[in-house]
Amino acid sequence: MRIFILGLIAAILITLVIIGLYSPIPFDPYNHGQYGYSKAGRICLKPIPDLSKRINGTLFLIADRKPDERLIMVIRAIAENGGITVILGGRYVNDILRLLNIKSAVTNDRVRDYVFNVANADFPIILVNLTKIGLGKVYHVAFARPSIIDVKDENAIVIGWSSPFSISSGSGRGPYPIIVAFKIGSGFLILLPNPTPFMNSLIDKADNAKFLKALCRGQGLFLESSLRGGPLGDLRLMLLKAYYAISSTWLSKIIAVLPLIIFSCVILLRKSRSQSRGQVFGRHKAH
Amino acid sequence: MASLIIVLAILAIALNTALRSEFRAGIPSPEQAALSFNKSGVAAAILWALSYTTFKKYDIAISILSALNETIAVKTAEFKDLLKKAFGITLGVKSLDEIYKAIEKILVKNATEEAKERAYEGIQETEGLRHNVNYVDKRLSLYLGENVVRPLLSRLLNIIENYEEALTRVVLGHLIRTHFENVTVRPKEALTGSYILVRGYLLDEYGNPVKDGRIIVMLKEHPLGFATTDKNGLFELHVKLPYVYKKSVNLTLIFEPTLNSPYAPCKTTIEVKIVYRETTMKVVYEDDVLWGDELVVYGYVSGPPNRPVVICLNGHCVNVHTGPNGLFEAYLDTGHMKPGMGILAIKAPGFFEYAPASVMDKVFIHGMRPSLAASMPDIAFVPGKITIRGFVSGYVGGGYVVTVEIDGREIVKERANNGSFTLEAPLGIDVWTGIHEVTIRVPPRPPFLEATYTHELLVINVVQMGLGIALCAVAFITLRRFLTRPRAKRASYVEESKVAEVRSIIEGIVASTRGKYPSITDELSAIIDVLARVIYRVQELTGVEFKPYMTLREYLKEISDKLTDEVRNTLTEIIHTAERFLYSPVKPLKEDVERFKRLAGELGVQV
Repeated sequence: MRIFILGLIAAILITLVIIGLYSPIPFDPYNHGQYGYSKAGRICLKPIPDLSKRINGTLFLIADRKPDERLIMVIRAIAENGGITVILGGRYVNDILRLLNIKSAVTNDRVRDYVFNVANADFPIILVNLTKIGLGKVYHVAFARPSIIDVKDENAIVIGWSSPFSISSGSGRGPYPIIVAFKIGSGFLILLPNPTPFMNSLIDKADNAKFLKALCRGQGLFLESSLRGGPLGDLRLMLLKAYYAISSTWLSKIIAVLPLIIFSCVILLRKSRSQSRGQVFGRHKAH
Repeated sequence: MASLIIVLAILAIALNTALRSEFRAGIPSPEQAALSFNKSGVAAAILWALSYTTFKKYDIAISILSALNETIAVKTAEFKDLLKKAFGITLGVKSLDEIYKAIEKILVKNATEEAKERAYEGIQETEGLRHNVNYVDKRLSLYLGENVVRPLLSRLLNIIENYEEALTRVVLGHLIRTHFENVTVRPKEALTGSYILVRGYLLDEYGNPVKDGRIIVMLKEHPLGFATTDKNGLFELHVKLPYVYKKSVNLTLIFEPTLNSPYAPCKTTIEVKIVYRETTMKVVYEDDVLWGDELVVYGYVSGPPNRPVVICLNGHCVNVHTGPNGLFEAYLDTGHMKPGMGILAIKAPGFFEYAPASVMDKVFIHGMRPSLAASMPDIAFVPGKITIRGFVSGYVGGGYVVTVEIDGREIVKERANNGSFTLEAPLGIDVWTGIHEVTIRVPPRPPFLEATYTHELLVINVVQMGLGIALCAVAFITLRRFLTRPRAKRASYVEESKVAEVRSIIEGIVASTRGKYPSITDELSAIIDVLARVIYRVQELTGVEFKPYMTLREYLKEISDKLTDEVRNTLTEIIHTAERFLYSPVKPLKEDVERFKRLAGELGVQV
């Protein structure tokens, strides 16, 4: 019985550790490390496991997994209804753009700036003008190794430029387009070359937090299923999905009282043991 | 439990380290980065910002300086100070500019005292500004060289000095008041969009003409033209009126003296009557149209032919032009619009002398409501699938798409080609046991509106239920077995575990004394076991626990006053006998073990 209860507690602990208490995946709102998004989560980013529910608010995603038809459909639907999707770079970012019939692409040309930076040339400050898309003000946003966006679309509005002092791994001098908004329907798709501005170690620099708030417009939803987290990440995602699925059924009630059940079992066990101990002493006294 | 948590924490940290090292490649962190910046580059950026200040583009200058304020350069005392001073210069020059503009407005109203107060405020700022410019000049020259820095900062100094002079004149009351006289407009009634002649005189307070005064003619906020007065103070200006369709407009004439001018500014207004032609518009359209059909709008707009007309329905606009007789027709495809009440706006913008005209009305775009009927089971087992059969009226030809959603999540999307359809919707193990809402949806397609059918489905997730039942059964059986175990058995179980604890203490003592644990033979092990039982028994009798740090003799001493003489003697003999085997190389024989057991039996210990 003891092993059973310990096993049950261990299983719950492991699940909690995997789901939420400790995530090692970079850019995960559950990750409290320097590459994590926990601070962004506290500001306005709410993690969602997948796109099963209706999206109300700005959708943030990192294109680290191959995009499927549903994702493209959702991005289109959000934009058509006047909403905003923010793509924070990722391995498959150009695939998403291609599926959305956007010709622009994130290049491999990295921008460095020896003048406008928050630590060294790898962390340039980008001038972001959100007034161009009616979202807010002008912000200075710190990035880590941003790439240049090759803008080829007529409906593209460059809202983030590097400084004239910036240089690229390709050739020439800045300013370079770093953040671009694409008008789709009555909404926008906003493209960032990478997710670094909102990671824990950079979000407190420059106006990064204010920029995130402006993009969120109240509530930002971070798509967990777009993250690449290796086997542990997949397991986490599976457990998260299960958790969200359970939350919408009567099982959630059982889970809510599960700690009480375990606690009762422990009390019961201790009580029965203490009774047993009393029996032993009695027998010896009889001797 | 504590060890379990520690193991879990170590596991998590190990995983974290492994995964982080995998993903960290290519992402630098500012927390670990070596700090560096280009000093001459930062100096050049400050100079760049100040160059915008000289062109009165203060917002750009402030934006550049704000960005620099976020950089690592500002962490050094040297650049922090420099940046602070550059900010001070930009904000100071901006403030002087605003004060001067405010004074101009005050002077137009002849509020001289108020103007003097404001001017005095401005003058007080200039001293500090000059000091800051000189400081920045010296510091930036160290990085960029005097030949680069000096020309720009000299210009800044000139600007500050010019403001200082102008404000000083205001304070000293040296500004000569001015006014307009005999301002006329020809013609008095002008056709909209035509040229008019504005003529008048600019005189000072003594009636003398003001020479080379710059006059601006404005219509609201828009400048229409500029003129300069001659030696008689006369100015003449031909300005083109914009196409306005009002009875009259007021033109504003403003005299804005330059910074070095001894004159105060002034302004006046003059009314111009506007002539234009009204536009007649007549339109014909149906106010109820089937969704997907075209809304046809016919109309007539007076005026010349080829006049543009914009027809908008729910924000979707069509641009057409009138024909030779002023007629037009437009077709608006309602298929791209949402069904329901729509706003139709027809507008003929102003066209030369013809005023704009517009018509606005409601048009109802009605859709046909199809009927959707479906049949499906009330109960489904998971994993498995449900078969849905349905019929939808109206959707014939070209096919249509049917989607099946469970609790708002799409699970099937299939194309159907005629009115009836059959779908097989798979239910994965992520559909939990319970009542779920299944929605069948046929998306809208003109002229048909969206059709939906909702059904409540009881799902029984076999995997989930099986796991749950198994878990409960295991828990129940384990608990039951434990609770229903015979008391004696339970008691002996507890006793054995306690004895084992004491035994481990003794073995610990022996191991530390001998140094080599494997030297414990079977006989010695038996003696330790018996000794452990004896000590457990004594613990029971006296209530004094045998602690790991105690020797056997220390324990005996501690309990001796709680024992009867007989028991004490037997226990002393047991301990002395045990010590001979525990703390010396003497190995016990089988006979010794038997004797030992016998002594233990005298204390009531069952061995």
